[in-house]
Amino acid sequence: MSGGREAGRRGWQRWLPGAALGMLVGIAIGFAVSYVGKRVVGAPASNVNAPSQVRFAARNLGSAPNLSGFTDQLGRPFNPASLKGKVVVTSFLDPLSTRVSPVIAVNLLMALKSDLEDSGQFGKQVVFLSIDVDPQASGPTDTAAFMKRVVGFGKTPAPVEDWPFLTAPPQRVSLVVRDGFRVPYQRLAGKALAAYEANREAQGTYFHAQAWNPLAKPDEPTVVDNGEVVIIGPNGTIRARVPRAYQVSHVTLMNIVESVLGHGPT
Amino acid sequence: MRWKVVVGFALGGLVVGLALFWWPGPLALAASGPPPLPRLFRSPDYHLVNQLDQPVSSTAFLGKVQVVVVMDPYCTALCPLTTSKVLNLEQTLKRRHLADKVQFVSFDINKLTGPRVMRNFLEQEGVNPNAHWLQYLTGSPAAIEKAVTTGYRISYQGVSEATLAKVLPSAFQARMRNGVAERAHAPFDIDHEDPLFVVDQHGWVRALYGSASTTPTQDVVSDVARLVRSNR
Repeated sequence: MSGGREAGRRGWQRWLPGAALGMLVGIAIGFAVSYVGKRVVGAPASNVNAPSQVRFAARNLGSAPNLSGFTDQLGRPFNPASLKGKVVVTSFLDPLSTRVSPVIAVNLLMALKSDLEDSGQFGKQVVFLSIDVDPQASGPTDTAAFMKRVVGFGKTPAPVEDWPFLTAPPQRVSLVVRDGFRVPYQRLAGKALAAYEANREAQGTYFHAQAWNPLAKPDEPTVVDNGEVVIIGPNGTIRARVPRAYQVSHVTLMNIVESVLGHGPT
Repeated sequence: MRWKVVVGFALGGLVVGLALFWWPGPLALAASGPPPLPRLFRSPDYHLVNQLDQPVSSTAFLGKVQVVVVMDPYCTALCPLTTSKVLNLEQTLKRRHLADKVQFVSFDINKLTGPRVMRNFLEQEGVNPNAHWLQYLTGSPAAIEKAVTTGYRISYQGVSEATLAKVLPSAFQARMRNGVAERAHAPFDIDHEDPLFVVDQHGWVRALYGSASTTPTQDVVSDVARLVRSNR
């Protein structure tokens, strides 16, 4: 009787290693199938641009370029030393734009400015800097008019010291913005613009809306790829890059500024 | 002896395979990483009409992930940006082979407009109004209020243009061009929020973003992909 039970137990013991191994292999196959499924159902197509991959550096992303040779919106030569020791929120705006520039200036920067004023930091620890990326067609008159009529400094004067909007000859702007800040803005018209827009539409990164701008000149080429905001630290190094800033909230930008100031999590 | 090991192996694999087939939860969770999106609240039931004046019920969207926004065809602040975001989301979902699993839904919150104006607005903003991937819905003011305010908890109100002109600068909203609004000379504007909701295949709101225009495309696409993968 007990010998029969013993033989039965030995029989099961022979089955057990195979069953255990089978279960392990089954689990492995299950994981593999699940992983492949995940890659297939939601797999990113190649070269999909993330909308706003904020790049933040705890130390630095290189030195900010020298800003000598620029003129502010009052037509005065700009003194780069005025930025020293402050966090500089740098944008690259076209004062004649009906695309992203008004949205960056109002929806993002004005909202951020309000938060920074509430915290007592605007002008003291943090300043804004905008660079005109359409100097072929605009100058200090346009940058001043943009701040007044589009950004909304109609009744209250624009804070030129804390938010200079700089212009310079096209070559100088190109050198500083393209080579120095590595913001690859382009000025396009005709077929080149149409091809650019078609490509952006296909990628799902096209700015379809049109902003109101009374300064716009319909026959002028369009400036594109200027939607990045660059944050410069108090020591003059680039600390954060915010591509396609027109679709970033001022809260996100405030968090980055606070991090650069050392007040928030990095 | 050897045949028993082989049979044991097969049976063990079968048991695990069946278990995973019927109850894939832990495996999916382990493979996908983040926990499932929370169920925030039930999306509302409604019977409205779309931009083509065709009747549409909320039940028509069950089985698909919904991306829900609100738009006013006469809006000159956020709605053109919301529409741009919706277009880019649709395109990105197409590139990721997810578009056929998703239904975009928008509610018209302006009682002065109707399907014809909504079609004109969509066309102006680059959306083909005859395409069904975006269902732009309208109805009686009470029906819209029930769906939008009671259902999705989005507040909106009509204000004069003079009031809006005072409100917009302090709301930090760039003025956007809108030919449909310019031609209409509407006597008032709609002051409204612009949230974006992601609703699952069973009608549960699973994600809420405060501003459609500044919501990262990738975040919404990621939510959609997770819901499509898990279907729960």
